[in-house]
Amino acid sequence: MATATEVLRPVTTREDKWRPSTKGWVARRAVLLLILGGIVFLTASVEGFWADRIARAAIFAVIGLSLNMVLGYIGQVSLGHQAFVGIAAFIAAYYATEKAGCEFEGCSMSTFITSTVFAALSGAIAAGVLGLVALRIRGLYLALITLAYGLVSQNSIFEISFLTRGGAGMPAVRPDGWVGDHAFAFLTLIFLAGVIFVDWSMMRSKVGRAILSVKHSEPVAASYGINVTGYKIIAFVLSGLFAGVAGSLLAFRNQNVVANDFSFVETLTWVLMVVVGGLGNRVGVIIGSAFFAMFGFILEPVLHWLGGLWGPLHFLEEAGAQAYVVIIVGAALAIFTIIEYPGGIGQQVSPITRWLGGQRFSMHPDGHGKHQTQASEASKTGVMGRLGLQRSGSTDEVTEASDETAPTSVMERATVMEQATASPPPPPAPAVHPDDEPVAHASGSADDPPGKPDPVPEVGGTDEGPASRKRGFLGKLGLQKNGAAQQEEKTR
Amino acid sequence: MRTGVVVGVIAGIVGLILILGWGDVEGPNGSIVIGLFQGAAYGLLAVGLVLVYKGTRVFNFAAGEFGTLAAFIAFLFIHQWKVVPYGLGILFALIAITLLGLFMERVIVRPLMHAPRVTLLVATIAFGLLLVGVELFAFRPEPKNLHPLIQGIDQATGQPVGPELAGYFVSPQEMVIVGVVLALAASLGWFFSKTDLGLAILATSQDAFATRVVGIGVARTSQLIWGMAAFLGALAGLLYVPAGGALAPGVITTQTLIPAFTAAVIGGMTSLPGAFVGGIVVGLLQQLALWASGHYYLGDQPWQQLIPGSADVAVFAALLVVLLARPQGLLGTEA
Amino acid sequence: MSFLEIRDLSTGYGAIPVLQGLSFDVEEGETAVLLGLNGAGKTTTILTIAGLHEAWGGSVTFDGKEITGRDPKRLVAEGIVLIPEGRHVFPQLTIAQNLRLGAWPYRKDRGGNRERIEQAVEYFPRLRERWAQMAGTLSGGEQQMLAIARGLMARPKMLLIDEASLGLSPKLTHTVFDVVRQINLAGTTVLMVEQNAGVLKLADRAFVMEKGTIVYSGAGADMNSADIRQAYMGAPA
Repeated sequence: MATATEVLRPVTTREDKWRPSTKGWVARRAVLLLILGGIVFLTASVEGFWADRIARAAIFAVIGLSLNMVLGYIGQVSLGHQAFVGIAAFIAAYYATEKAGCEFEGCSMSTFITSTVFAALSGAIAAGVLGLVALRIRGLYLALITLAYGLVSQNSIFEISFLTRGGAGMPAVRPDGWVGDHAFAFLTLIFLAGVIFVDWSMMRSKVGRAILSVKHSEPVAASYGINVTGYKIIAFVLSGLFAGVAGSLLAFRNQNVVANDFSFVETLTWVLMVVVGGLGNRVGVIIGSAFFAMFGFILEPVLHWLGGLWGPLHFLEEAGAQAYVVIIVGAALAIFTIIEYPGGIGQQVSPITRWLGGQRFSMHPDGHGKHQTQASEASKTGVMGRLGLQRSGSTDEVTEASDETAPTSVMERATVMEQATASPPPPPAPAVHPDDEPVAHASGSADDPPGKPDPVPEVGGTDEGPASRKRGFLGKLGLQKNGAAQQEEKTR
Repeated sequence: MRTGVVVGVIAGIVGLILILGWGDVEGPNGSIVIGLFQGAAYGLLAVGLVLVYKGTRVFNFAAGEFGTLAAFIAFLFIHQWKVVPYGLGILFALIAITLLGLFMERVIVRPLMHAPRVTLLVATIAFGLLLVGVELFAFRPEPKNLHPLIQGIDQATGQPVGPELAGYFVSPQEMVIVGVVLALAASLGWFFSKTDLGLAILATSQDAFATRVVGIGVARTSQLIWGMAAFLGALAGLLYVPAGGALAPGVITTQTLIPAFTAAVIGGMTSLPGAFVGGIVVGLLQQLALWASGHYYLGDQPWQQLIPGSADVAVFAALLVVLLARPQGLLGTEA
Repeated sequence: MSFLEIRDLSTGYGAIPVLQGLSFDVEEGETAVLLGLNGAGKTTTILTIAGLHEAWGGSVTFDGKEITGRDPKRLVAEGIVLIPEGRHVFPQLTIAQNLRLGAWPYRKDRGGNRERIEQAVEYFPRLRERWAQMAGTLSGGEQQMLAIARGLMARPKMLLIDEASLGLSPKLTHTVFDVVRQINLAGTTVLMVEQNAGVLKLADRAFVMEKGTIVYSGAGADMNSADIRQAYMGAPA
C-alpha cells in the first residue's frame, strides 16, 4: 500500500455542522414511524403462515447482527455460527421440555425467558472461548477453525442423543399467550428491537469506538492505549449472546429443534447475507438478513408460475426446488456484491438512513455530518475497508515507512518516527503465519490501480509542506538514514 | 531434512503399534490400515489447497465442491445417462472441473487479486455454496452411488476383492488412490523443481511483485494454479467418493475439506510433501480416535455412543493444537 | 529521437498526483541518474516506465516505439528491465533458480542462458560461491548483486536500477556502481534512481527531481556539490 502511516480515524465527531429544523425532525420522525408502523401493520394483517415467515426474518436479522458484530465490527470471519445458534436452540428446548416440563403442560412466559437466558449464556460462553482463540489465530486460519468447529458441532454435539431425542428432535412449546403465529412474530420483533438497541447503544459508546479502532488497525489501537484484547473478547461475547437469543427464538418458532436446521449450508448462507447486507452496516445487515429469510417464500409463486408455463420447466415446481434456488441466487448475489458493490445493501440505502439520522439528503456517501455511516467509511478506505476485513499480522504497517513512492512521505515519516518514540511499541502481534500477507511489502504501491480510493488523504494530508520545510537538512537526513536502516533491516 | 525426521517418527510409532497389536482382531491395526488409505485421499485434496495457498495466498473453501461436483458429473455421464464408459466419464468430469477452476479464477479470483485475502476467502465460500446449490438443484439431496473403478466386492462370490491387511480388506479403489497419490507426488515434485512454469509458481508465492518484474505474466500463473487446483480437487472427489460411500451434495466439503485443511496446516500450509504426510497423519488420527472411542467404555457405554463424531473431534483438536502451538506446522518451510 | 523519451508523464496514487508533466530523455548507451529527495517521485517514475504503475497521462517512448501502459511482461521482452528497490529476489529459491527465472522471456534458449550466467557470475564472483544457496539467506549486498545479475539474464537493452546503494556499505556501493559502469560500457543503457550522490561519478547525465518534475538537468560531471546541496535542501547553500 502507498500508505505508510496509519492513524486512527475519528469514528464519530461530537460537533454537528448542520442540524435539521424542527420541521425537518418532524418529517424524519414521521417517516420512521411510518416504516415501523408499516411493519407492525403488515405482521398483524397477513395470514398466519406469513406471520411465521416474518418471525423467521426477524430471527435471521438477529443472527445477522450477531455475525456482523464479529465480521463487520472486528473484521474476523466466523463460519461456525450455526454451532452457537444450534447449541443455544437445543439448550433452550432442552430446558423448556426436559426441565420445565413444557411438552405436556404448556410453557409459561417465565420458562421461556429462563430458557432464552440459558441459551444466550451458552452462546456467550462458546463465543467467548472462540474470542480467546481469536487472540492468537486470526484471518484465514480463524475462518478455518470456526468452520471446523461448526462441522464438529454438526457431527458431534448435534448427534448427542439426549439433546436430539435420538434424532427425532427436541420439542419446544411456545409460551402461553404467544402460541399463535401472529403473537410469536411480534415476540420475535420485540426481541429484534432489543438486540438492535443493544447493538446501537454499544456501538455509539466508548466500547463501540474502541472496537472499530481495533478493526482498523490493532497495533495502532494498542499504541493509543486501547485494550485490544478486552474489546475483542467483548465483541465476541456479545455476538454469541445475540446468537444464543436467536437460537432460542428459532427453537420456539420451529417448535421442534432438529440438527438439520443448523447445517453448514445454513451458516454459510448467514455469512453471505451479512456480506450482501453490507459489513458493519446495521440497517443493511437487517435488510439483507430479512431478504435472505423471505426470498424463498417470495420466489415460490414465481417458480410455480414458471414451472406451469412450459413443460420442461416443470422441475421448478418440484418440492424443495425453491430452497435450492435460494442458495444459488444468494451465493451469486454475494459474489456480485463482493466484486461490484462491496458496500452492500447498506451503502445503497445509506442516503435514506443518513437522512433519517438527521442529515441532509445527499446521494454522496461521504456526506459531511454527524456520524458517517459505516458504508461511507468503507467506501473511502480502499479494498481493505471495502469489505471491512482485516489482515492479520499487520505490525509492519506501522513501522514500514520507507516506501519512497508515498507522496507525502517526508511528513509521514516524521509522524511515524514521532509515534514510534512517543508511544509504547505495539505488542508483538501473535500472527499465526508470518507469511499470511497477500503480497510482498512493496508490491502494493506498484499494483494499486489509480482511481481506487486510498486512505492517504486522511492520514497525513492535513498540513504538510511548510512543516516539512521547517525540519531542515539534519532532520531530513536523519529521517532518510532511518528509512534506509529500516529498509536494510527489512531485507534481512 | 525435518520432513524426513517427522516421517520417520510417525512411521516408527505406526510400526510399533502394528507390531504390538499383530493378530489382535480387537486391536487398532485394522483402523491403522484404514487410516493410511483414508489419509492418502486427504493428502490429495490437501495438495490442491496448498497449491492455491502458495500461489495466491488464499484458502480455497470451494475446493471440496470441485470434488463433489466432479463426482456428480461422472455420475451423470456414467450411471444416469449411461452414455459413456467409466474411464471416459471420469475424464469428462476432470476436464469440466478444470474448466470450472479456470472460470472461477477469471470471474472471482482475478478481480479480487488486490483485495484482502479474507475477502477472497469469503468469495470462495460463496462460490462453493453456489456449487452446492447447483448440485442440490440438479441432483436433489438424496444420496447417489458412484461405483468405483473396480468393484470392491466380487459379484459372483460376494467376497471382497483385494488383499487383506491386518484384518482389513483393502479395496481396489483404495489401491488406486495410493497409486495416484504416489504418482502425483513424484510428478509434482518434478514439476516444481525442474520446470520453468513450476518455478514461476513457486516464485509467485514468494514475491508476486518480483514475478512481474522479471516478466512472468501474472494472469498466466494464476490460471495455471487454479486450473491445477481444480483438477486435483476433482481427482480427489472422483477417487474418494466411490471409496468413501454415498454421493450427496456438499459431501466432500463436509467430510473431507476440514481433514484436508488440517493436513495442509500440519504440513505448514506451503509444503507439498508436508500436505501428503499431513494427510496420512490426519487419516490415522481419525481412525485411531474412532477405534478408541468405540473400544473404551465410560460406565457401560463406549465413548462413541455418549459423544458421537470422535473422528471429527480428533481432527478439530489437532487443528487447534497445531495452530496454537506450532503455527508453522510440523514440517515447517516451503517445499 | 532519443532512446528513451518521457513526455508530460503524470500519475499518482489514489486521487493524489505524484508526477505532474514529467519530461526527460535518455540517449542510447549512456548512464542517466535521477536524483531527488524522498517523495520526489523517482521510484514512481521508474515503476511507470517499467509498466508496473499505471500512467494517467503523457507518453513513454522507447527505441522509437510508444510503450506507455504496456504490460511489464511485454516490456521485459522488449528489453526494458527493472532492478527494483529492495532487491525483490525470490527468497526461497536458490541463486541458480533466481537467475533462471530472470531469463523468463528467453527460457527456451538454454545455451544462451548458460553464456549469460557465465557473464553475470564474472561481474559478481561472489554469486558462484553461493550457487545453491537460498537467496533469502544472502546478505543485503549479495542480494543486490543477485538482483542485478537476474536483471542481466533478461538481455536488457535498458536497465532501470532503483536505489541500488540503499543499505549497502560504502565499499559494497562502490563495487555495485563499478559493475553498473561495466555493464553500461558493454552497451546497455542505464537509468538509475539514487539518493547516494556518489553515483554522479558514473553518470553521463543527471536529473534532479522535486515534487514530481525535473528541476535540474545536466551532464553528470557538471554537477558539483553545491548543486547537489541545492537539490537536496531546496535552498542555495
